[in-house]
Amino acid sequence: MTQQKLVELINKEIDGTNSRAESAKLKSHLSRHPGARQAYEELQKTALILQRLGEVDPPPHLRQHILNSLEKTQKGVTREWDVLGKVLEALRGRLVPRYALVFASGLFVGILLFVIFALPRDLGVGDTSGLTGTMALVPELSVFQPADSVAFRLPEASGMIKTYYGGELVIAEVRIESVTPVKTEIGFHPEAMTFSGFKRLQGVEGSLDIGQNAVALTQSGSGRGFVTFLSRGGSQGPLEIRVSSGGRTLYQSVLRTRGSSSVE
Amino acid sequence: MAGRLYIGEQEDKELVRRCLQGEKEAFGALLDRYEKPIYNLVFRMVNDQDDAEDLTQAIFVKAYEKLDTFDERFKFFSWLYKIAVNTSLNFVSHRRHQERLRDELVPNGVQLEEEFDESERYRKLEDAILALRVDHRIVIVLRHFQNLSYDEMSKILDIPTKTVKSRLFTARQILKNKLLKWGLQG
Repeated sequence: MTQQKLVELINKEIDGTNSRAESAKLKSHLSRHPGARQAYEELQKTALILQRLGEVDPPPHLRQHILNSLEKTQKGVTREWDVLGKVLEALRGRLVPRYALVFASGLFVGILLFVIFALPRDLGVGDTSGLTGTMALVPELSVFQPADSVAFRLPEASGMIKTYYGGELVIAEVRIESVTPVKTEIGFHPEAMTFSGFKRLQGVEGSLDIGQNAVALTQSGSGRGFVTFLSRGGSQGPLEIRVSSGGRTLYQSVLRTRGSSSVE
Repeated sequence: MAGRLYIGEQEDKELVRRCLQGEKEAFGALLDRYEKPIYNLVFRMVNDQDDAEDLTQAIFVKAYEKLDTFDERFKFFSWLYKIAVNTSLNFVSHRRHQERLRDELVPNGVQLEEEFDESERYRKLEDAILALRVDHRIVIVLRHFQNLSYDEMSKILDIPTKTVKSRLFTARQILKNKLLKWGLQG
């Protein structure tokens, strides 16, 4: 018997998937080769020992945690699906050609009236200084001064957060790499600055929750983005960083937003 | 366990279809079916309850987000396991250096079998599995704790069945040697 065949028969015997003929063939071989027999018996014993470790029950709250995560990650999409689904369902089976024609004509007239009366006359790009959000923000870091930075490497996640300042703007550059969903909260002093915008440069989809005194970026995988703040009357406070996973704090730090730089 | 999973194959596909139509409860039903096996798979790979919990959550979120990429010609269970295996392997590769340390800390046969009580024995057994190389550990976990066939393992791991068999044999031998060395197997 070849080594490969022997390995296969031993595997299958341990897993209980050998046919009667295969079992007989293996036993015959083992009876003539004591070394192989000992190896087989030891492997059989190992498999039995592994059986001692039974199934583990997941914690009772896990199911709800997962469902809550789905709510957060897909909320918008699902709502859109729901609305679209209901409209299509309402229309399905009821669209006879005559009514479809009337509906299409009405829609066309409606759009035409909207274009004529509702749209502003001047469609040129006006003052964009008040715009915030991803479309309005492409920071050129070269014109900003570095203020502070932190880096961390943990089993759950690793990353780096740097702060920059320039004029009335403060920028937090966030680079995170993680396997599980990780939340990066950036706390700020609302009397000193306000959240201005966010730009995701790289990485997987995530979410950004914007609060009165903190923004929280939730993501999984590797990602890089800029969070921008606008200082109030030239005053700026520090940024408080908290990185967590599943409610567990993994890392905490405070970053300066102006002054002498400790950025390497 | 694998056989039991096959029975629900068509129901799985129906649940996926309903979920894609926006019926969130359908995903809850899939979760009911697979939460425990996936948690067990991950737990045996990482041997840490918190990590297993976080990873199980990440796996189901990923599956939910990518549900529209699921090809109905294949088994949902294989697709989900593939996500679970890849997520677990990524995680384990990030903390591999820690596991090496742990491997070095495990006693090398100086303790007698009688010295271990039963829970200590389980812990050592879990440590022995954790000390395996990840490609060996995953075949042990899929075969012994998930009861998957060689063909299923081949599909999930994207390796030929022949490789599954030889890797499983090697993994069992290494594990056996560890158990003998640590006094867990007479």
